Amino acid sequence: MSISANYPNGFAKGHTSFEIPLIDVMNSDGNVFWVDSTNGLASDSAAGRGTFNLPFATIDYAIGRCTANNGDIIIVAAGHTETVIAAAGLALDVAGITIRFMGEGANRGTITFTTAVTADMNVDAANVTMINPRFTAGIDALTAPIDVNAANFKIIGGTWEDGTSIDTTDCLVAAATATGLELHGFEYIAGDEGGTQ
Amino acid sequence: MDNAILTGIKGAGDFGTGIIENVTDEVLNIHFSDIYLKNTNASPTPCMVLDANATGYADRVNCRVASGTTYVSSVAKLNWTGTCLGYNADGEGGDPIGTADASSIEGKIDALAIQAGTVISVQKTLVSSAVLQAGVDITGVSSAGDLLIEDVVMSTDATGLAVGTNFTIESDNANGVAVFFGETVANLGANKTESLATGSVTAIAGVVLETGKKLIAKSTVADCTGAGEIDITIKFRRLAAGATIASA
Repeated sequence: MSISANYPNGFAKGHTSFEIPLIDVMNSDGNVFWVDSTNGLASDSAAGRGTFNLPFATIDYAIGRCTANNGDIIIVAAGHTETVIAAAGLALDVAGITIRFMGEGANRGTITFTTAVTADMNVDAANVTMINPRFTAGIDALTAPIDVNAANFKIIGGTWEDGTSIDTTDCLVAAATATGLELHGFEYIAGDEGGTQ
Repeated sequence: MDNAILTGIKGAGDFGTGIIENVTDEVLNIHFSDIYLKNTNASPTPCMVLDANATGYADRVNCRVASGTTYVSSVAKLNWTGTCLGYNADGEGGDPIGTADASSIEGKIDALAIQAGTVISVQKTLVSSAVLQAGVDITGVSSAGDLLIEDVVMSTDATGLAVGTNFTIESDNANGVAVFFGETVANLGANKTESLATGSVTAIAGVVLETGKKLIAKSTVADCTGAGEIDITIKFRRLAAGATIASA
């Protein structure tokens, strides 16, 4: 027999059962914020949001709500989509945060880079971790969409996906300051392989 | 980005430079493991481009290239475990990446393969019109030691050489005679086969090509003409371990 329970407002401080964390990334003393563009109630402006039922609309906004080095976690709901259209369009500029993307395959929370070849996500704060992210290219010849400039950036279980007739020049560029970069399980998926990356 | 850890990386596509690149400043103390890369670039282009001074460890790195054996641009100063392999054809078992340790079986085999007394051959095809009085290089310059020329075999196609009086092969050695083989162009017409011993004009066996020197083909009196071809195969015996030479 199994027992289930739903807590639609989420667990702001995580949750454990018999001292075992129910969701690994919730095993934290920091804030937990939800992001879900598919939720009709999602918004980046109203106070009291960031929960499962009243999520933020963008990762960018959620990052701004985090406190540096506080163990804060952003959970990106399955099906969430976010578009980066310009250089520095998304800044991971709060140290010590973890961004956990929910879902599997194409249903994972997704960040798409498009419009300008210089569109990018800057990792400018140390000790940022992304778990299970899905990145897609919406334009040909992106030059450095994942731009790592800070120490100890970590991606666990991510994918980069080019589309048809899209060939990303460099999907992740790490500066000399990106010491301790860790990629654990990262797949580059070419599009139609019609061009040169 | 010193002290980076890249594990479980998979990537395939037509990459003009490389799939993983360290091109600006050497990365120190990097850790690669469980890397699976396939670069279909026809040039071919390696899967990994590394700064020559990069350091660290590589374990279970697998690199498939379109052709050739340059799986990584440089093995740099990394230590590559025996499970790092390169591939250039479907279905093959892989070629170790990294410099074989001299004390390993592979290292000892490599040393045996190029020790003094072993044979190396060079082949070059010349079009008749390229055989000039001024000369055309058959080989590049040798290196790492002297090479004994044991034989030269020449075969012409259905046209062969034309015009010119004699076809000669010479070295630019500092010592000894330059020309060690000579045959009349008339005897190198259609479908002829000659060897060092059969040169009717000059035939000197046992010539040593000095290290840093090369072989040159020439015609005498007039340049050769026409589209006929002559295939030249030269058999060298190493007089020093590692002595080597390649066609021009």
